[in-house]
Amino acid sequence: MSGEGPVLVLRRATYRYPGGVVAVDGVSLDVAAGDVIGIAGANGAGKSTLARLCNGLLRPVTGSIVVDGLDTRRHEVHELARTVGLVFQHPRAQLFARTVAEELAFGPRNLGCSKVEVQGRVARAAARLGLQDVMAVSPFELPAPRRRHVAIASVLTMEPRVLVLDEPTTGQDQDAAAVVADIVRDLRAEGVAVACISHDMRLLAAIADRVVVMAAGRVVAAGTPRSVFADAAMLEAAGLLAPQVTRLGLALPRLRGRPVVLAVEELAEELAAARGSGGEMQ
Amino acid sequence: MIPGRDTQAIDSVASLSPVVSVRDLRVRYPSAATDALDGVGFDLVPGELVGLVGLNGAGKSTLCRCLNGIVPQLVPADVSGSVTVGGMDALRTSVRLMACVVGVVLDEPDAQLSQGTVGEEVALGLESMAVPWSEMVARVDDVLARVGLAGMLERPPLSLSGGEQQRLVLACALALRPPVLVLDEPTSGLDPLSRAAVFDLLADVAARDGTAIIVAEHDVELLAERADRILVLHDGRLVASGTPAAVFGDVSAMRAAGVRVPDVTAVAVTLNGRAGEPLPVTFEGGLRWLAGIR
Amino acid sequence: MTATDPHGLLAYVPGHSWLHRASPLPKLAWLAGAVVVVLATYEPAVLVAIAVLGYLLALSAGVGRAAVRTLIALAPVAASVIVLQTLAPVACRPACTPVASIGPLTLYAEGLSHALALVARLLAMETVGVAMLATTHPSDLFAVLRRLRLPYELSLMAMLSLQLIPQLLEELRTVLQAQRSRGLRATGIGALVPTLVPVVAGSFDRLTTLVLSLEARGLGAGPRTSYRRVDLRRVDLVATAVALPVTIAGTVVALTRWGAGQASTVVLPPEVAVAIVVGAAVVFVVVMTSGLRALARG
Repeated sequence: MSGEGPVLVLRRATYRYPGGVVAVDGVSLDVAAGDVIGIAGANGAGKSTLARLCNGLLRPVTGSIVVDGLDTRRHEVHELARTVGLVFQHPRAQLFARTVAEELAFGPRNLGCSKVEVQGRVARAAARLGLQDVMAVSPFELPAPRRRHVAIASVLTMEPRVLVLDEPTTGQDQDAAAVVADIVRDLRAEGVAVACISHDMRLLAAIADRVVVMAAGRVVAAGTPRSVFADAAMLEAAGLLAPQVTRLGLALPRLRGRPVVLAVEELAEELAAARGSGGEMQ
Repeated sequence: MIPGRDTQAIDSVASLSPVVSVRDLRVRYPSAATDALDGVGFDLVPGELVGLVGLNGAGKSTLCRCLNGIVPQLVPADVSGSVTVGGMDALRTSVRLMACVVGVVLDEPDAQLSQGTVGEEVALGLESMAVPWSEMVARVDDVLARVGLAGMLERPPLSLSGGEQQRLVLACALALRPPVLVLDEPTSGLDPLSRAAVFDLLADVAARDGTAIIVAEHDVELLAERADRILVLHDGRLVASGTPAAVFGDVSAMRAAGVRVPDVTAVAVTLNGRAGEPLPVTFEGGLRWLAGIR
Repeated sequence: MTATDPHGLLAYVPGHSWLHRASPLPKLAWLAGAVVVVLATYEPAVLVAIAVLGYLLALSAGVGRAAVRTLIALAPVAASVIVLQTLAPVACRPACTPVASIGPLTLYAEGLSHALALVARLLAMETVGVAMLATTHPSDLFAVLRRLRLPYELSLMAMLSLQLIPQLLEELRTVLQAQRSRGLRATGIGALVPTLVPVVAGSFDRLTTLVLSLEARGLGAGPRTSYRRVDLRRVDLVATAVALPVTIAGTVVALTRWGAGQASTVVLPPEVAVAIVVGAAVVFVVVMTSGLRALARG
């Protein structure tokens, strides 16, 4: 995590749809460069609306969203697109080009990058997502997981300071999901602020520095994954479930009082440590 | 354990002949370099809930679509082998006629909804089968109550939430009372509690109606809790078939097939349990297993 | 995902007015009758009278707003008819009478008069149409049509369109948002491909899934029964039957008194003609661009 001020700041942001539904209700959030924040919640909790507020597609009715110093209410979406990238939930909402290369070039071209700059960005993004071998292929001919990787890469070519991912692992098998997790880790190392909207709790356990839980448009919990996942009652009320390994750790009497676990290796370590400290077998 | 059944029922299941019989199924799509399915064979008996796992592209969707003849009749492909469902030849019998013996629920529920009201959506299949009006009304009410959507008869299907739409498409398939149900990734896009609710519903249908259900899924923890059997596909081939404990317990085979094992199983593997002892695959099983180790 | 209410021209507006509670059959019959009478005349007085009657009906049923909304949606069509007809009338006997000119373009009296009559027809059919259709649940409408022996395929196609068009608009909105998020500006020609291709491709996929789902539920397996039922009471049948003689009377009167197919040419002063044509062009541009902008904003 870098020492700069936060790159993405939401202050009591509220959004109401024309029909009257309040989808986001007074949400405040800070994300610093190199921070990965997970936004969890059941369907209908307001996560997708929040995603669209972050890049200016929707303007808050009250409150504010400031991205790298830019107030979203005072800038056009295409201006904000230089700074904040949004990967949509369904790749089919954006894929249109004849080849993967053209698809990746769309973003930087819109930003007005030179031909050379565009080529460079495309090559870098393709390398990150392992798309070098399909650059001349049509995105529509790729299997679903790779199409999603193309969608992510096509936003990464914009080289944003803030990346918002809307349900990036829906319908993906574990290999494809692992690619997404690796990308997020790389971006964190490069100082990009990442907001990952997902109810894939295992993904959030793997990559999030902090987790925010939304229910009915409001933030109902915020903190480290360990602290948030430990509150089973709150999660259930929000329509969520901690990863199985976390729930196992919380249910084992001998691990009572020990840190909350987020991964299989951690549980094994904690069990070994508990045994080593002379705890009676329960 | 088959949830919710008494021992008498369990005995009778073992003696029932399979309601689905797949033999040496080979499928290759036009202009594809490799087979989508390569010699797949298995049976399904009434009342069992079977999970189908594998990487994207392993052939899960293709297999689901073969069970009512969508492949090869509506989606062209080179097919050999046999698929017998409810006594009918799925590969050759017209797809619309197969509707009475097998209900297929594709992924993306909102793409399968098209009628003006929930009631009409559920009744669509019944209308196609010329079910008399009074019986239609009763069945629609009954199946909507079953899936927890009672009172939504007049709602437009597309105004329902994601979880509700998933239950609606399930209701549409159940209305025809088929002995076999096929679901292709019914929980993708749903939040954790909605996913569990869908599986509770499926387990109930399998137990109470004796429906044979096969579900293609990525959520291995849920399958381990609910399924009677697991089938694993890898590159079009069936590489494992058995109880969740047997299949997920074979960790090296799962790794080779690219399939994740439930967290609880992975933990047990890391702790090197006593040799010969079956690995846990369910949450409760995991607690018991962990309590038993030194 | 919650769908927005359908924004279509025939959008059903739920309610409990007398017209809502009326059976679909007489409503259809009277609508058909009104259309026949409207098509039998070009006389502006008759057409405007029917238009006003239709609007009053809509108001009494609480769907006046829907009528106005549909009017606005049809404004570009009406506007283009006015502009095109006035500048290039179809045929005149013996020759077209020029009434004014805007630069190199000449406005013709016959064209303008004919255009106004066409627009009046559109208005009349629109208000009566909205009054009758906005108060009828589409499923009831199709149920009645099926009872009248309309082939199931046709009503199915119509029902699918009604559901799928709003979905298409929603998809278009999402795609526009996604492309704008990648820096796409405004809605020029360069925006066409990145916006339309995903929508078309997505629609193709969704339609394929839908067709497979319908087949898998037995569609086309044989003769069908119908779940949605519309009760036809005696009062409904009487109301329907009455529509016929009224329509015949109205049509005869329209034909004999004002000569079908002949636009009575109304000669307007040149300033008025120019004002109408320029106004129509402005309306066209304004409605189209604000519509596109509203779509983009989502």
